[in-house]
Amino acid sequence: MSSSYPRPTLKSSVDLQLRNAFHDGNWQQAARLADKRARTLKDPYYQAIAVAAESQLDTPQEKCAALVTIQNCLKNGSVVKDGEILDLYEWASHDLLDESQYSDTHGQLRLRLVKAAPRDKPAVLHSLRLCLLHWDLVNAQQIATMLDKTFVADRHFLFWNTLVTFMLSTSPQCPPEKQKLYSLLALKQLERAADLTEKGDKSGRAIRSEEEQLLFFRVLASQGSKAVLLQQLKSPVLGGIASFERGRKQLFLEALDAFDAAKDHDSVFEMCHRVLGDTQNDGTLNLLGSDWLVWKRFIAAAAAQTDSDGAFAQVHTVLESYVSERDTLRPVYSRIVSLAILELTFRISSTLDPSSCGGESIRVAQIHSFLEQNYDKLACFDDLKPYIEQLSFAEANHLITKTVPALERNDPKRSLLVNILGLKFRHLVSTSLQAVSPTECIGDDGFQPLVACKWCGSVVTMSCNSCLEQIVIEAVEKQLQYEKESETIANFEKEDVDPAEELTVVAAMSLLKLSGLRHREPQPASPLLGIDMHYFLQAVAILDNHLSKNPDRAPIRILLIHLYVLIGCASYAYQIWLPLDVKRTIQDSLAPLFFDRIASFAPGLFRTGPGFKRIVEPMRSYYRSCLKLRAPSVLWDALEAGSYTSVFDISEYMNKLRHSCTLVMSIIEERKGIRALLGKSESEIKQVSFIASVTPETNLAVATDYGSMPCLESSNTTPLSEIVRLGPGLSNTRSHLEILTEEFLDIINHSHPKEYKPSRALETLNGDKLYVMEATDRLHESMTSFLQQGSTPSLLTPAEESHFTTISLLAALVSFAVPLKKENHTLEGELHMLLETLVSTLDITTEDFGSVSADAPNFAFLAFGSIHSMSLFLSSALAIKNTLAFLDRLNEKQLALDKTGKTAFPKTLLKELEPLGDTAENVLKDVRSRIKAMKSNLDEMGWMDRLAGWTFGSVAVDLEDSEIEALGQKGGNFQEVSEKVYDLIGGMTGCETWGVKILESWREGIKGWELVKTE
Amino acid sequence: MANFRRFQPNDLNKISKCNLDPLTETYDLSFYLQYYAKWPTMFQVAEGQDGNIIGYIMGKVESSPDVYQFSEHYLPWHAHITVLTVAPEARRSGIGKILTEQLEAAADAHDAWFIDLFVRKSNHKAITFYKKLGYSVFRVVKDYYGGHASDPTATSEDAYDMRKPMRRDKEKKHVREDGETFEVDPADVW
Ligand SMILES: CC(C)(COP(=O)(O)OP(=O)(O)OC[C@H]1O[C@@H](n2cnc3c(N)ncnc32)[C@H](O)[C@@H]1OP(=O)(O)O)[C@@H](O)C(=O)NCCC(=O)NCCS
Repeated sequence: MSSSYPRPTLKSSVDLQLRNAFHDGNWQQAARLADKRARTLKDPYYQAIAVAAESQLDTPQEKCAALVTIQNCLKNGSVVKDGEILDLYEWASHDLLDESQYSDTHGQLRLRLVKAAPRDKPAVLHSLRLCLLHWDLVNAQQIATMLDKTFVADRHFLFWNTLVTFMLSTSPQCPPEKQKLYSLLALKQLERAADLTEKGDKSGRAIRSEEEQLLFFRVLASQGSKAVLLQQLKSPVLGGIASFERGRKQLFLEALDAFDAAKDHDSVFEMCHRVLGDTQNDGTLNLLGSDWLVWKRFIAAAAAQTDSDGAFAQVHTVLESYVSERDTLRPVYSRIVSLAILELTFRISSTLDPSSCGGESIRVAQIHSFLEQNYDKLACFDDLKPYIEQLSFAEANHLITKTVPALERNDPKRSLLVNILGLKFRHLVSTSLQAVSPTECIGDDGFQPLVACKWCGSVVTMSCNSCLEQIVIEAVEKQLQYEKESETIANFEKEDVDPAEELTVVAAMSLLKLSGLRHREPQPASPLLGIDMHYFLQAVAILDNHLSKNPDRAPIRILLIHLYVLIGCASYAYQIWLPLDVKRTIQDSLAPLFFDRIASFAPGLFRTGPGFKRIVEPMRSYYRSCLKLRAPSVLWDALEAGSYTSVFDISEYMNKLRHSCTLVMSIIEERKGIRALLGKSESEIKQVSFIASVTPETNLAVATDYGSMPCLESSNTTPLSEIVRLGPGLSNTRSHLEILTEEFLDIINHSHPKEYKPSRALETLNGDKLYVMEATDRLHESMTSFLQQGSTPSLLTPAEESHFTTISLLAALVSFAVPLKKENHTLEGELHMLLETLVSTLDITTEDFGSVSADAPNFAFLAFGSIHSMSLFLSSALAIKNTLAFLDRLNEKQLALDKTGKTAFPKTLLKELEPLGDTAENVLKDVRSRIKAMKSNLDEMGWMDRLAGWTFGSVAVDLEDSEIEALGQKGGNFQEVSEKVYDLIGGMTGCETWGVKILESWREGIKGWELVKTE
Repeated sequence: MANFRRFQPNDLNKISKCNLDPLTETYDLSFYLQYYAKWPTMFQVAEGQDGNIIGYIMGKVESSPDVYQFSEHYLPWHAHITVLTVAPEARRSGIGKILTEQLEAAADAHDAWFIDLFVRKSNHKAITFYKKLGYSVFRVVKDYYGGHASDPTATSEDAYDMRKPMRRDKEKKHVREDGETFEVDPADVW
């Protein structure tokens, strides 16, 4: 009892014997002693101790002692005047009351106590604290108001009061008819305080601190009119600039956002001008506001002025003052200034025709000067990327073929860094639309739009393979050369730049592009279908080779995890994942990088028992610990510290965390993994505390962070993170569909324990049927509404889409079938259609599944690459089988209870369901034989040669022409590329070291699959 | 490219560039939120492209708890750098220095005697960085860290407690020259 809630310390006046009994959890004795003291001392506090101690005892009646006492108090309107008595009751009844009931129970009692003794400040504060931490804004608001009224001299309480009133007004706890009232109340109080400040009134009830000022603007932004907000933000006393002048930056940034959102370019221009042109007392520049964002907005606002030339001239003047002080600026500010110059140049010249000046434009010249200063910074490429994307081909060509090489010096370190940048630029341009032009050529199939590469003239469908191959060749050559130059290596040892890593990333990205891995509409059944296996595996090999030598770098690790998941090497991906040490706070944003869909590609990782740990345990304990209380205790710290915006932001963050897609994922994936292995779930999904309150209307928040994924691509192509993922990222829609699916499975897999024998069996059965009918109907409705949204196909893998469709149809089937009785013959239409749709949904998946032939020369690659679809295919078939079994059980029960057979299912229904059962059985058979085929394939000999052949073709192993053809080995520069990559990873030895990892991981994976229930 | 601003809780979903680096520890949520609750102006971030956080500093001002008032290790009103980190790709551009100077300004605004921090003895980069900024070793805390950053066989590592005097400490009473030789136990620091 009450284990999760801190046990109150007894008052110091309590005698030692009772105190010890209470402290030691000796509840019988504590209850008896307290009761005795209560009688002799006539102090209700002892009675409360007795009740609290009794509530820890075993019988249901005893357990409810505190709860009953509270309910009595509530009913008869009595006031408990001793806050410590309430503490005892709260502790003793905590596990029996849901947090949402706090407001109507303890919260009420707290409020009564405050009303009875409003001047007892510690008690009032304690009550307010508890209401807030239990997120009972209704009572908190009333207490805060009383606090403010009673202690007028304490100015903080004015802001506490307005803050809590405002939070209540925006919360679902507030009755809709009172929302306006409370928000106005908060706004008016703050406007009055602001007014006093504006008039120079230094009295207590004016706004003084930065946090008070920020609170005022938050409330104003949310409740006031936009015009008033913008007006106030310009105030010479409380506005953004006035605040900046006092060294406070936050409000200035918020003001800038507000004017920018309102497209008030004049104000944006003015504010930025004022801030960027600001100097300190000694005449040097004040850099407080000299952020990149401010410069960018300044220049954009200048472009939007009617006299843009004049505005640009003003920008130029401000920039000059920075340029003249450049030597004294920290490198980051100096870089910001260089970028601002670049931004200005691109803005001004965007009105000119860039092609008119050929490749040697002023824009390229500015990029050149940026490069001169920043070529050695790791962020240089990211800084320049948006500008290079705007160049015409002629300009890009000039940059890459003339400007960049000209930066090389007789300094190997500098030259290497410049070369790396050059390769990155080439990759960027080669993969963007800049480098191609439409051509007249018609492809073999007559449909594909073809383009010509502007560099080499090749006719291509997407990006130019021949150019990409050239990039790989050069990147690998540079790396091979670098590895031989110990002096240059020593030069980089203390740096945060690792040239080998940079070159590996460029080569791997180009190889992935060459493999054809890309975003496709509609998505193929598996991301690996139709891609070039050789280049794909070369990318994996080259990254793996680098990681084994440099284990500390996260970006390569993250990319590799994704690639290994794609080829079904789950256990190895997990080994790569672990050293990232994703724990505690960052799990919400990073755990999906490995754990999303994990049950579908690695059910074996969910094995339990000695030697296996629950892989989602770190997530589980993280969420459990930080979502224990409805609001974290730091919320009170923030209020006490006067950090009002922190109160808002923390509560908003916690609310999102409570409804996080990662949290849902951690629960669902574990259920799916365990069910795959054990055939059942440990509990019902709606009994899981975090899920219980989720309804289809709940907005589940996505927090996934792909920021550490390498990114060399042009911004007009799909980001790498989306291409290397097994499917679309976490989403509100998918999370809901997963929860609804679990709910459905809970219904059909539910069976009463054997000893369950209700007295009115038929009535109970009818009640159960009614529940099932309504619940499945609701599930079908909810799933359909998610599935029918236009964006849904892009949020799911094809396998998921057909699985969720199957589940939704099964829910419809159950809700349709359950009420049917023998005499009811009108089955045909609806049921028929439903069953047909179900069978055809499964047929489509069967077709995809069948496209991977066991005779394919690269069967394992294809089969492991489509393991996610296989898993969902299996889940759909099992769901069908279990649904039919559920209906069967129901029918049997009905027959047993109503011997007339009148209420049993019509025979026609059972007949209609048969083909569905057969289809499901066939699927299960197919999956079983696929697993068997994969296993026996892996048991074959000669795997190292086979993997080497799949990766490097005839470069690594002797292959017959027919084998070369069967594996799809290409001509062109394939040979040269493969030779280089093969060389880099250490020839056959390196290839074997790497191949063993793949093979072992596949074998480990199959071991897991052999444990999966397919019956 | 960098923007400097206050931390906000949503940044916790964008800190992978910093926190996946082995030298940066990840704490429980309540730890970050506590700093944001109590000292929001001393929790500053540098934001790069796409909202990714490329550096942050988290600090506070406090004195040792009153019960230690008469201990020789008692610390008067001072500022403390709890976390400072810059993403590898953004290092050596002055971001670490800018963030630290911001905290120093806040420490002066709070009239702190000094600003201090703990750093692994093997973290030479950071020690060089702090020394360059005027910090010096005040004492060595033996076996302060569990595990060793660079020696997998070691089970613990010493910390340097480094300090820089603030404006209030005109006579430099709170720093010492030979701090490297002054050893204390983890139990002596709070
Ligand atoms: C320590 C750390 C915060 C420095 O951040 P930074 O932004 O790279 O530092 P700055 O660019 O502001 O450096 C300022 C000065 O410190 C010195 N410095 C910084 N890093 C250095 C290094 N690796 N080697 C030598 N000196 C260094 C230099 O003198 C530098 O000035 P300069 O570049 O003009 O020569 C960063 O390396 C980091 O995050 N490390 C990992 C986490 C960590 O160790 N944190 C500290 C634990 S308490």
